[in-house]
Amino acid sequence: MKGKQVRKILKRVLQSLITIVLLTVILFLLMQLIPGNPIINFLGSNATDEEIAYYTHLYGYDLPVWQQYVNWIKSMFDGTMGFSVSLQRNVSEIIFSRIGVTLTLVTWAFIVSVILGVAFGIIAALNRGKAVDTVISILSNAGIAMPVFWIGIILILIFAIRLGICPSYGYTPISKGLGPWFRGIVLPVTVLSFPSISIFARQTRSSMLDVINQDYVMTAKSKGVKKRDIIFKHQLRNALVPLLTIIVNRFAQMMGATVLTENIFTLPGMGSLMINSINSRDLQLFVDCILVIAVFVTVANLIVDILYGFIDPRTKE
Amino acid sequence: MSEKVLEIKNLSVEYNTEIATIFAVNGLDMDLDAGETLGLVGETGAGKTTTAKAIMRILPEKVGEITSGNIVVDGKDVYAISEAEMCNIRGKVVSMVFQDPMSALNPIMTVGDQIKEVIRIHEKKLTKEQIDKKVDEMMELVGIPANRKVEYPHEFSGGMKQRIVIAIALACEPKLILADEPTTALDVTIQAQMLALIKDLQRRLGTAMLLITHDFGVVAQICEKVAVMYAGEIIEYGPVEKIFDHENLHPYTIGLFRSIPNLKVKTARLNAIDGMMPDPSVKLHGCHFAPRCKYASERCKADQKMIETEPGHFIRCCRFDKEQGGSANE
Ligand SMILES: Nc1ncnc2c1ncn2[C@@H]1O[C@H](COP(=O)(O)OP(=O)(O)OP(=O)(O)O)[C@@H](O)[C@H]1O
Ligand SMILES: [Mg+2]
Repeated sequence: MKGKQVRKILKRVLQSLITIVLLTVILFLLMQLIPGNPIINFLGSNATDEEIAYYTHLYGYDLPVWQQYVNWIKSMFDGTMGFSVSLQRNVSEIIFSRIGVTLTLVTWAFIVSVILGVAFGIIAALNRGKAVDTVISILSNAGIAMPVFWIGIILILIFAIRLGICPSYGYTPISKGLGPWFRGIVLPVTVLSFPSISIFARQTRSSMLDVINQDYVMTAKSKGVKKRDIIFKHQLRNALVPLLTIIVNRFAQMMGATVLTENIFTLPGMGSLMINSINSRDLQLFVDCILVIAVFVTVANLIVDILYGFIDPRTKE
Repeated sequence: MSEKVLEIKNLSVEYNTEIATIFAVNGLDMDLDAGETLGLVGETGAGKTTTAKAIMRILPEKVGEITSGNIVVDGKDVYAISEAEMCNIRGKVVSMVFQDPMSALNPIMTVGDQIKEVIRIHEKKLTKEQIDKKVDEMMELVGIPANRKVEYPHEFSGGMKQRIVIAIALACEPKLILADEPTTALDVTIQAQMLALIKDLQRRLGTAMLLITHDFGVVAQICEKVAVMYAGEIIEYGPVEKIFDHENLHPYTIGLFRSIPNLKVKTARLNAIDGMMPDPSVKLHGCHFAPRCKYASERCKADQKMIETEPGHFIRCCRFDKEQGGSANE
């Protein structure tokens, strides 16, 4: 039993690695296809042909395509992840300085939306048909329908411009104090988590309603299990099984949605970095950003698959 | 007089759904002595499960409503106590076995943990080791090796799952067990096995049982008394041998017996009772069975009492009412 499980986990890890390798190939091909030249963009329109040739050679853009790919892969292992022409630094340094903001934002938004979404879903399910349920229903529909940038602008208008309690742009690291950090991050986290809270609330509600009248809940009741234990030990745990996939898929989507949020609030994270890299045709940087995000998403999926083995015994077989 | 573990007086239950109000149980009376086995028989929709859920106080919230009567389990009025007190009664004084063992167990909890849960709730004085030992004992008692307690429900067959469910129901040695068609979802061969097991354990532990079924064969095998339920009412009640002698029965009970396929007598088709159960969303007056009864007369329009036709045998039919000039006995 144990060995079987370990082998299954190893198999999933291997699958994830293959996924990432395939992704590098696709990304690299994409890089070749996207028009624009980082060298020309970097040197500006006044550059001479000699200058262009010199830098093209310097950064290895004149090598055969397969050689460029090999160099790129090599750069993953020497820790540089290639050289960003536009920023004149190793990509790994740039990403390292930016990813903290994005991870902070996404992690908090994720935690907030899971807790609030699941809580609202449970409350709605337990009060089905009552006013609370209707209110949660309306709010979550609104949360899904409202565009993120619109919510962002409204929040900035109210909290930054009207009330002046939050900055309207920029990021304050936690080292500058908890209060300033919180004021800076609260609006972006709200914007990023809004649609997810709504989706989690809706899914949790329907998932809970599916299990609420199951026979095993009746069995638990007739054993004398207290209402609270019925909800958390029997109903919620079963409801979570189908929810888990949705929750993690949402994490992946949040990694994407953060681009927009970071741009609304001008936060120096991966999102704004990606936009900048496209603007300067710095494809190396762009592709590395996507790769890093993809690795996070893949790892998240891997964790879920492994968790499933523990949460749902039926998947062990 | 032996002690009563269950007393139901004039119980009425309604389901208030969005579409209609369903009158599921209408003025039901029922008693059960300690250690006694009562078979509750009736067609689908008669209100059998509703009665059992009412006893457990697990009717669907807001939808299911007790509109009259009271239920006393082991001296406690089930609807006069708090939910916390009721939790102490469920599983300890009275437990329930549901119809379908396939879905009666939590799919993501080991069977051992599911047995353990009920013991932990009710046997607060036991140590961890004692509880584990009790779990093992219960598994062995229903004939499953204790080392399989770490497995999940999907790793067991239907019959084994029902054994687990029975182990859960009996783990705290309740005074009363409500078995709602415990064998219908199982193979015929396993059915007999399961009934023998229930009967054996019940006798050993001295548990009273309300056995819900629509199978007279099952009743004959393990019950001492029978109650026949029709449209939310008990229409016949008595000792098994009195009912099974097929004399002087309620016309509906006669119909039920006729509808059992008889292997000895060759019949072209089964003798189903003509007509249909009345619409449960209409409040009935008079004899509920009258519209399907060939003896129906003007007198059946009045509300019917239970009439004791011989000691311990009650029938809800005016034909047996001597004072009213009933003629069924002549
Ligand atoms: N949750 C519910 N909401 C509305 N009506 C219900 C509900 N549960 C049962 N009923 C109705 O109550 C009546 C009695 O149902 P009950 O389940 O008690 O019958 P039963 O005798 O157990 O039948 P079966 O032999 O099919 O199990 C039926 O008309 C049924 O449709
Ligand atoms: Mg039933």
